[in-house]
Amino acid sequence: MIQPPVRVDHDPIDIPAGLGIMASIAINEGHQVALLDLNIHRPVPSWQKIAEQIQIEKWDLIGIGGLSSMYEDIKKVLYLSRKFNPDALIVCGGGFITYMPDKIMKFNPSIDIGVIGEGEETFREILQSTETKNWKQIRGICYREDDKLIYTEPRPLIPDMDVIPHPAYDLMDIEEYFKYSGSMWYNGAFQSKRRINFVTERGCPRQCTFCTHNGMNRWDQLAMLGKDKVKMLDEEAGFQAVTRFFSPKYVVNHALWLSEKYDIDYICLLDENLTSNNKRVHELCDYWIQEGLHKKIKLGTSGDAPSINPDVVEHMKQAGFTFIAIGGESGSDKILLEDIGKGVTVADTQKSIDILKAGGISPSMTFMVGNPNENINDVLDTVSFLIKNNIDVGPFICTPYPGTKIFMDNQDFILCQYDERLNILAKSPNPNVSPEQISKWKDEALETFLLSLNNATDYSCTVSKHFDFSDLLTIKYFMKNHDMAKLLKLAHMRGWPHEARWNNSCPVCSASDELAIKIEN
Amino acid sequence: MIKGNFNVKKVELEDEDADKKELEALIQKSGAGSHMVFRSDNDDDDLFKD
Repeated sequence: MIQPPVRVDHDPIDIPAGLGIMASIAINEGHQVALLDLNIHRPVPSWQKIAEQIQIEKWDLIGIGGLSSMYEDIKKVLYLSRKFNPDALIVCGGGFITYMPDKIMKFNPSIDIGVIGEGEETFREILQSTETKNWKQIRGICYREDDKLIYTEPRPLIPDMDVIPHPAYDLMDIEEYFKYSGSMWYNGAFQSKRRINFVTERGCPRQCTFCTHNGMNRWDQLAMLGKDKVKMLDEEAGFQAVTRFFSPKYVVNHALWLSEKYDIDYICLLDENLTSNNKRVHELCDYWIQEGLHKKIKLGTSGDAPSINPDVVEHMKQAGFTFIAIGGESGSDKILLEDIGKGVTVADTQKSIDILKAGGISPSMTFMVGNPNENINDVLDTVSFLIKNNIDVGPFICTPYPGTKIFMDNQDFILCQYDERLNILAKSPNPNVSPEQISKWKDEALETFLLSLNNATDYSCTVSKHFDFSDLLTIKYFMKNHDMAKLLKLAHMRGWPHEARWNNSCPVCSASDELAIKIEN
Repeated sequence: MIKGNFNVKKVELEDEDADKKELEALIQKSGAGSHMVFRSDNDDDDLFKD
């Protein structure tokens, strides 16, 4: 199992939990398994060293997983894996392949099998079929057969999350990860010495247009498979939920085991939206306290504004939560409701911050810039919100990762940013350029786009109708610095009309007004 | 970097970036804080040729 590097501009803060679960499944099936963790070291080792590690054994199967933002490294790992293991079965899973398996398989001939969506049961069945190679009976995959790509029927979501094994911690260098415990810059977490992260939830009830769930909830299934297929899965395996949780008992037993084995002092529950199910949060906190874990381990997690209330915050505080990360995203209701479709207003966000502060848990906020219809007035609303709440944060750049609604709605616009020929043709169609040629250029542009993806603190591409890349990078900088004056000056320089309510903060308008008064006088 | 549930023939990594780590340590010691990350600047291009 090979874990590619993640966010190489930052210390490694997450153990390879997903791949670790797959390793556990392989071990439980009786296999000899090794985990090659390319994320554990900073600096990331040279490719020459990585190549040496890959070829130290003759592997029968190589499993590689990851997100679209890791595509550049995944592609290289795939190449080297095949180069040094020509006979190995190479299986890939995770978000990077789930949302465009046809293109990923086309761009990476090294891949034999792509796992689409939730992978645990699928991977187990692949392992059980390595001798027969009867892939067509395995649901939720695509594979090659006689130069064709074959898709099997979609697989329903795992109804009972508690059947999923713990990651194979013994295959990870946990002590090395502990060196980076304090690199998670959230209240409480940055003081930890022996922090570990794990996920206790899959999916989220919200449908933010910039977000995906790695094919593991109902929203993703509807986007990928359509209503009729999802209805069939409902009838077969029960309602395909938007969120599924490990039971509180599973989570607490997992934590007790980690505490016993590694003496951990902090757990970050990397759930998409833990607080969205208040009932389960109360059950989890009750059980956590009952087992005495609140005296040993501090906690952090994420949530959403409407589900934050004084009761749940009080209980979480008692259990040892030190921060809850909330996606504030924007200080503009127009952006929150119309562009992002979050179903949350600025007032909701404000209320959640006030409740968390009153309850003694740090609200750790994230914001973004560059949503499709976001203009300078919306940006200024966000900065006003940051100033009002004294939030020091560098906003993410709204990035259309594959699988998101903003990706699907803006595909041509995105590709034009990676091939100037397409850009010119979009403005001036040329009948002499064949559809086949355009299709080829689009494929090339798509892979260039994928290779450019990084985490959204950097610029990859934009879906903004108002700002180009130079605007976004500049705006991001001044938002971080709460510099309303520079943003308003920029608005005048660029010819973006700002509303009169910002005039008092605008150096250009203030100067013009002052000089006008002097002339009148 | 690699661990298995069997005896994997490990390749020990040489500390090829010792000087860079030293620089990182110096920067951190200065109190400025650093999250500078270096990729190896070795020429790896040949590795990706068939």
